[in-house]
Amino acid sequence: MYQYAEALTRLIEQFACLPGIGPKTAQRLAFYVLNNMGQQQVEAFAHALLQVKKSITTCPVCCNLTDLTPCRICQDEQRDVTQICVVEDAQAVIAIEKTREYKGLYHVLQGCISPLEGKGPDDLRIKELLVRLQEGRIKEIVLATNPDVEGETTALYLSKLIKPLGVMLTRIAHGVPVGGDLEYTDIATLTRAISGRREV
Amino acid sequence: MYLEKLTLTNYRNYESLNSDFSFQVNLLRGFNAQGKTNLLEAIYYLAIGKAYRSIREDQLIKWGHHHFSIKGQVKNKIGQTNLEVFFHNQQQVKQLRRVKRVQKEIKVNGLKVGRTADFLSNLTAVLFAPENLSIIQGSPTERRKLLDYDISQVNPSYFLQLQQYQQILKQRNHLLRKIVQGRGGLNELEIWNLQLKNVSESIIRKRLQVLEKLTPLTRLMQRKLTGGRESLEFKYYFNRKKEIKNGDDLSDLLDREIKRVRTEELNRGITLWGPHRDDFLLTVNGINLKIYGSQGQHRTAVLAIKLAELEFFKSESGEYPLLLLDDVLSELDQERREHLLQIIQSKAIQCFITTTEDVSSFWHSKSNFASFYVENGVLK
Ligand SMILES: Nc1ncnc2c1ncn2[C@@H]1O[C@H](COP(=O)(O)OP(=O)(O)O)[C@@H](O)[C@H]1O
Ligand SMILES: [Mg+2]
Ligand SMILES: [Zn+2]
Repeated sequence: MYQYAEALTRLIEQFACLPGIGPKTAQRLAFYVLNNMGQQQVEAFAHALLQVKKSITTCPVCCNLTDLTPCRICQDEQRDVTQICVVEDAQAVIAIEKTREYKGLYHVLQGCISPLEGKGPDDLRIKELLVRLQEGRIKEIVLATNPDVEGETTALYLSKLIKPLGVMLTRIAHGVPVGGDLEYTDIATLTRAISGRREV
Repeated sequence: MYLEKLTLTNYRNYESLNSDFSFQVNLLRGFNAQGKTNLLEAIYYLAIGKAYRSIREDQLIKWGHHHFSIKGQVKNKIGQTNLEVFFHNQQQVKQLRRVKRVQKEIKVNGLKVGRTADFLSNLTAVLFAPENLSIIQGSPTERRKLLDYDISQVNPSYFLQLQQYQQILKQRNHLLRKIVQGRGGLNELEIWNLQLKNVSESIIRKRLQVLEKLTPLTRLMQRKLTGGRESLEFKYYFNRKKEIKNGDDLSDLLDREIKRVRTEELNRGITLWGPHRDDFLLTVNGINLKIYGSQGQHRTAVLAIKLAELEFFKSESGEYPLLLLDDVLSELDQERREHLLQIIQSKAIQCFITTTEDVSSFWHSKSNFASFYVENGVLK
């Protein structure tokens, strides 16, 4: 059977390993690299792939991804060091940072409790969080795990663990998006918004 | 509420159907295997967001085609709602490893909705098909499914809780297996217990409330249908054995059950408590109707439940649902047919009735009535 040249086949294979990319797309990408990208661009691409692996590590304090030790947020003297916002992953940090509302520190669990994915509390960066709590500076923990079954379970687990330590615990509210029309808000979101309502 | 118009494309044996219906009785006549049940199934699909009698939705696609669609124009007290289901099965890309392009799209008034929960309650329907005798004769699983479908239609947040429950149950079972295999996990069991307990409590409470409301209504309908004085009652059994009632302390009950089955769970690696292990029975004068009644009595009792549900739906949502009766008429004697018609007429309920015999002479003069002859996927 006729096949593509060895190098091309390998490249298609690598693209196909990526999430959300099937054999057809992998082929298209590989041909794009071959036909449409210049030598310099390909080198920059390959370099970026290598660099991300080489230079990105986990912050020993907050467990976020970083190229500095400790990370920029942990080093930032402007931040409120009495608050820690606990999130599942680095993407959540970026999302909350965009709001510019939150001035405290973060803690990245690197996942959530999910037996189906083989993740339990011991696989999350919970020990590191407890170490930070023992230092005694922290006054408030904001639980900002996702509003799905696994995120809620993780938040519940953490609250059981942390409550006895006497730190103030809060859970971020999940509800109707601002500017969203109530009529077009889905029932799951509305239900959550109603059960999490507050006095005004 | 009423279904004014139904459009089917490549659904079961309907290649293309476009039909208006009467606001009262719609009689669907025809020989066997012509598509009468398929039509009720399509209407019910718009009510529950899926097919009630088949497992895989691609079985609903007309053989030799790649998609089906159901469109319904519903009129309720607020106005008109257009519902649309589109299911696409691209067989040509199905073989591919990663991409599985089975597509289902549901729309309300032209807007896509992401979850079935947001589709429910736009059109509500009570269905009585021969399979529904499993409320009495079938397995606990079948019984729970029927009850859960009905509650979900008027209570979409109940549907969400069921979905949440399934997910937590899946996680917890996985965890139990892990513990049984000695791969750790005991430290998170308590948290999954708590999660499962919370949602279990809401689901069981809702079921008890619904059955409590249905009991007097069912009795009333039973009396109307038979003139009998039997006392019908639902009994709800927690974890298959313990009878419980609305108002019982469920939290305490669940706590004790969780403790009681713990050792066995840690041996077998599966969850041994929760709404998926409960059952409910219909009793007559305290005796399980399944053991006591004849086939005919079962049928009348189930019809009484279905008619009671019409009232229940109305009390929950403010409007009567559609009533879909599949092959029921031939099983009823003249007197009960009269009663049934009276009930339908007095409430102004839209009704779809399938039958193999010609009963139109009996009903024709008496109501706003449309008769359709169903032949090989065509309505005449
Ligand atoms: N996916 C499908 N495509 C085409 N025909 C189908 C499909 N599923 C079922 N049928 C046909 O539909 C008919 C059964 O229709 P049904 O509504 O159950 O009949 P009845 O009028 O007796 O209630 C059978 O002839 C069956 O072959
Ligand atoms: Mg039939
Ligand atoms: Zn850090």
